Amino acid sequence: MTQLTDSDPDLVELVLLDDHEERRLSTLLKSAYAPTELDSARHEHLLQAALEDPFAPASEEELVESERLRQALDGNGDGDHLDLVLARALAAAHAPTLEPPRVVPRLERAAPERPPAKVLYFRFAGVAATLAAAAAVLLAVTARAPPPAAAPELPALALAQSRSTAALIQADAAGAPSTRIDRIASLRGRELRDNRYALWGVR
Amino acid sequence: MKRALVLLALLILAACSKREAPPAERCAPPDAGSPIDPLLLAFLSRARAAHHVADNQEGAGDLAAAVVPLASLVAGPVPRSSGAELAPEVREVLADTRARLSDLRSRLGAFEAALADAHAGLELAREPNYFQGHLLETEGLVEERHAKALDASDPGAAAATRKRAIALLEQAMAVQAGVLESARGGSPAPNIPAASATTAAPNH
Repeated sequence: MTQLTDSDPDLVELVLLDDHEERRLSTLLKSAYAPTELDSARHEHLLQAALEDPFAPASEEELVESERLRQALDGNGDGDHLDLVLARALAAAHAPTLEPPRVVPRLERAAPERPPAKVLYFRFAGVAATLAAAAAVLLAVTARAPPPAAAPELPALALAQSRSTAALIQADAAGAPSTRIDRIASLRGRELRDNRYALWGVR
Repeated sequence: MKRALVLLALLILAACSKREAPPAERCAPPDAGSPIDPLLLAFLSRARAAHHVADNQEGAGDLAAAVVPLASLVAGPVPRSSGAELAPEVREVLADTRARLSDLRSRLGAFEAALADAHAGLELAREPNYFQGHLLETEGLVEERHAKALDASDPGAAAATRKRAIALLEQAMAVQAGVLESARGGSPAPNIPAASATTAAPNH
């Protein structure tokens, strides 16, 4: 086993957060994991503040930026894109996995005052032990969970689903076959439009 | 250490939440499939067009020409909602089209083909709903026409065919009664054991 020394570069990463920063991080993680309902008035206010015209076509700059983000999310582009880091952090908070964390860009910050080396050593050991215990709990509990592939994606749950049309057709007033297909096709056409609006976020 | 404890609590919370059933399993209707998509609409559009073409041909008195677009529909491409399973709408529209094909072919005197259509439709209409009842009714009417056609040439076969027709029409009545009861808040549609292609199949 390698002996840790004061000059070990890994120890430099273990910087304690101050109380304020720690509370802020904790709140952010909790909000990402279990977001609460946004007040409708505040939502409206945020929309008005953020968007001059929500239905205006995207500007050249917005198109370029959205393409950059799309490529980064696909793993083809800028791996250091800040929105990509945020998206991954939110996804990890909502659905943690045992995969090794991705490399994130180092954020520049003021160099904190370095604690004494011995204190740092014990804190490292404590944090490592806690993380090991957390990983063991995570493994034990998730091993009994159903495979995640069986669960549908969250956005799909809000969309109109393919289903039987029998309830549309009354046995005592069914009409001609072409009347029935007219009704079925019209209804499903409306539902497909609703699904598109829902996916665009305007429903 | 404080930060590590917060992290530990969050990890345990996240891990425990995985044990709950996904929302879809709790809330989705039993026959819910994939979200409605353009492929399903393409099929429904094709089916709608086929039935309207058939309407025009049938209205002009050309039953053989009316069969053509419907036969093309049931033999043509279909969307698959998940894996190899057909979406409920696709099964029901195909079943209804088979019922219409069965009716048209029996009016043309092609009783074997008409019965084959009815049986293929019943394979698709697995639940006791309107579509299954309509297929049983159609098959009963096909047998009734067949019995009339046999009256002069083979009275014995005609009597047997008429008996099957009556049994099928009674099954259709039972299925549709269940559908009506279910729609009015009564007991669910009954599962009629004889309402299947196998049991309703003729003996010839």
